[in-house]
Amino acid sequence: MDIPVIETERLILRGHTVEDFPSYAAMWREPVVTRFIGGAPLSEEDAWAKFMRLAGHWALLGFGFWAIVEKSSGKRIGEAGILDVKRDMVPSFHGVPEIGWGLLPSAHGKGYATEAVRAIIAWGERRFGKVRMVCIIAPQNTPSLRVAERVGFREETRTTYKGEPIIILQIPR
Amino acid sequence: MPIPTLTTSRLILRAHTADDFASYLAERTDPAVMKYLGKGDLLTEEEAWQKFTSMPGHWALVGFGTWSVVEKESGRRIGNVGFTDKKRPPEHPASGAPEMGWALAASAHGKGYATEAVAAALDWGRGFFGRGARTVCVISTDNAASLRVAEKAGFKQFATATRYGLGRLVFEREL
Repeated sequence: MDIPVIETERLILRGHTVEDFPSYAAMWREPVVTRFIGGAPLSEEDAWAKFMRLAGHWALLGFGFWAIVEKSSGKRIGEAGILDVKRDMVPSFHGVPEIGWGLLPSAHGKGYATEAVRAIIAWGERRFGKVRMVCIIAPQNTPSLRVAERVGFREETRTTYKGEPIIILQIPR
Repeated sequence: MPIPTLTTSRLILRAHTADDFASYLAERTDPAVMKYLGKGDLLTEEEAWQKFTSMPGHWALVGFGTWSVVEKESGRRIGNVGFTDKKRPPEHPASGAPEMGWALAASAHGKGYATEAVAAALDWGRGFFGRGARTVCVISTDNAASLRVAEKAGFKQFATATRYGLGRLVFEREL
C-alpha cells in the first residue's frame, strides 16, 4: 500500500525506503536512544529485522511508522507512528492504537518529536476516529514523558514490560 | 510492488495477509514446528507478530521475500517458504546471499510439500536473482526432515555454524 505523506511546519513524515536503513541502524545502535526504548543497542542484523517490520505493519494493517525527515536538511532524523505490536504486557491494550517515537540524538531538544506526534495523532483521529490511544514510556525517560504530556497523554497506570518498569499513558476519550 | 503468486501441482504460494496470522501463530507455538527453529523455544504472540510483520516488509523494501504456502485442496495456509536477506554478520558463512527458508505446520509434514514449495520458490528466484546466482540455507544439525528437503532441492553443505549454542549446517546452490 502507499504510505501517506504528512507535512508539518518543519518536518515531513513519509514511508521508509531501504535507503533509510543506515540511518535507522545508526539510531538503534546509539545507547542514548536505546537506554529508554529496548534497553540495549541493536546489531545490524537485529536492526534489519526490526526495520522490515515497519514496512510490513503498513502492508498488513494500513497504518504504522513513518520516517521523520527534517525539511531544512533533508535528513531522516527518526521515526514515529501508530502500532499494534501485540505486546506481552499486563494490562494488555491489544487493538488500541499505540503511538511511538524515537529520534536520533542530534535531533533531540528541538520540539521535533512533539511536532511529529501531534500530526500523527491528528492522522490517527481521521483514520480511527476519536478513540483512546496509548503510549508506553520508561519512567526515567523524562524528555519523552514531556512530549507525551504536551500532546495530551495522561498517565494511566504503571506496570512492567520485559522485566523493566514502564508507564502506560493514554489520551482518554 | 505486487507480491507474485506461484502455483504448483498441490500448492499456492502467495503474499501473507493479516488473516494468516492466526495460523502462523499456531505454528510458532507448536513444539513440533519450533523444535529446530531459532532457539527451539515457542514464540509469544508478540514475538510471532514481529516475525510475521517482517515478511511483507521484506517484500516491500527489497522486492523479494517469503510467501504463505496454501494447500490447494483444503485452501488452508500450511506454512512459509521464501528468500530472506537477514544481514547476517560478514563472518557467518551464509552472509551475502539470499537465504532460503521454509517451515510447515506439523499437519502438513511428511507429504513432500516443502520440497514442492522450495522448488517453486527456487524457480522464481532464478528469474529474480538471475541464473547461476548463489542462494544459501541454514538448517539445524538434527533437523533430518529439512536436511532431506535441502538435499532434494540440490543444496550442498559447505560450512557449519552455531546459533544460540546450537549446531547448524550451511548449504548453498546456484540458481
